[in-house]
Amino acid sequence: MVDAEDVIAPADGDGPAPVLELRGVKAAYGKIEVLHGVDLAVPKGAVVALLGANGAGKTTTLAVASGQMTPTEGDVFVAGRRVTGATASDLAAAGLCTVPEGRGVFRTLTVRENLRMATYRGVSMGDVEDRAFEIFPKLGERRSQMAGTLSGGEQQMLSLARALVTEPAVLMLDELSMGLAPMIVDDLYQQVGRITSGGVSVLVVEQFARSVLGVADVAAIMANGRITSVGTPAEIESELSDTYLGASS
Amino acid sequence: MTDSTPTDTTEGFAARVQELHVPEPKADREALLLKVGVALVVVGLVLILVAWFQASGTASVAEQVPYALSGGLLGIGLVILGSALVIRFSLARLFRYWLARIVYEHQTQTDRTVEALGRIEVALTGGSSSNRRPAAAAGTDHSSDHQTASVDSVGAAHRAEHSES
Repeated sequence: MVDAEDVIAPADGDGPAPVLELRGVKAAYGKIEVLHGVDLAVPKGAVVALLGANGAGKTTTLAVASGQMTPTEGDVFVAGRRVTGATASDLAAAGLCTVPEGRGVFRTLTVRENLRMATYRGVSMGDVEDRAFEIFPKLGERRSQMAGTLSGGEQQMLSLARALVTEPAVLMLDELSMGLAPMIVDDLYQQVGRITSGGVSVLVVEQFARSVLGVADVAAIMANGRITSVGTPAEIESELSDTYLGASS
Repeated sequence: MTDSTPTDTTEGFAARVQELHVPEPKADREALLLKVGVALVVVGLVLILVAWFQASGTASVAEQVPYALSGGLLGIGLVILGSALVIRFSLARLFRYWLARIVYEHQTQTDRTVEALGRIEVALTGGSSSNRRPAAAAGTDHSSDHQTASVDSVGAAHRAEHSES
C-alpha cells in the first residue's frame, strides 16, 4: 500500500528509493519560472495522479520528469540515480515511457505502422501486435486503417498500446482523458490500473480528475507551479472543487 | 510476447538507469571555457604575427600604426584573455585533484591509525578484546566508569573521616 508520505518523502529515507523522484525542481520558459520547487515521488508499482487546473504546471512537471526539459534548479532521480540533464531518448530507452497530451499518433500511418514505432526497445513486431491487440482488441480490427481516421478514443488506445507494449518501468500519461467520452476514459484507466499489478509505476497528469482517482493510489494537487496538497484519492477529491474554483492558492 | 517478468523489468530498468549518460553541466562548461581559452591564445598569436608581418613590410611609421593597433593590440588582448581562461580552469582542475588527494591521504592515514590502535589494544589486553566493544566506544564508557568509581571512593573516604572525627 502506498501512503501519501511516500509521494513527498525524500529517497534517502529508510525505505526503497522511489522509481521516479523530483526534488526541489524549478523550471522556466525563458525568464518566466513556472515550477517553483516541486517535490514529488512515484513509488514502485503505484499510480500517482497529479491534478490541477489548466496552467498549474502539470505538463511542465512531466516534461522535466521525462527529460524533455532541464530544470533550472533541483534534480530528477530515477531508480535512486540522479538523471538531471539526461536526454529524453536515453530515458525512454531505459524504460521511462511518456504518452503525450494530444495522443501523438502518426496520422498518415496505419495502426500497424504506428505500432512498429514501439519496437525501439527490442520487442519484436509480432510480440508488439499480439500484446497491443490483446489489450485493445478494437485496434486489431483496424490494423490496416490510417491512424488519422480513427476516433479520438481509438487514437488514445493506440497511443496507450504503443506505450504499454514497450514494457516500460515508469509510464507517464499526460491528459489521457482529453476530448474523450467518459465511458472510453474509464476503459483506458482500467487498463492503466491493470498494468500496475505487473510492477509498472504510473504518473498520470490530469485536469479532469474523476476517472483517474478511481485507479490512483495517491493523488497530488498542483497549483501555480507548486504541489499544494497530497493525499489519498478520497481526501483529494474533497479538495478538488476549491482548487478548480481558485480557493486554494 | 517477450518472456520478461516484472522483476526482470524492474532489475533491468535499474541497471539501464545506472548505465545512462548523465552530463555534469558544470564540468562541461569548464571544459568548453578551457578550449575557448586555448583558441583565444592561438588566434591572438596569429593576429600578432600577421600584424608584425604586415608592419615589417613598410618603412613608414604612419602605415605601421594601423597594423599595430588592429593586429598587435587586439592580438595581445586575446592572448591575455585566453591565458586567463586557461589558467583559471587549469588551476581549478589542479586544485580539485589536489583536494581529492589530500582527502584520500587523510583517510588512509586515519585508517592506519585506527588499525594501529586496534593492535595496541589487543596487545594490552592479551588478546581478550574479542568480547569487548570497539575501542572508541568502550574507551568513553570506561573513563566514565572509572570517574564514577573514583568519586565514590573519595566520597567513602570523606565519610569515613567524618565518622572518625
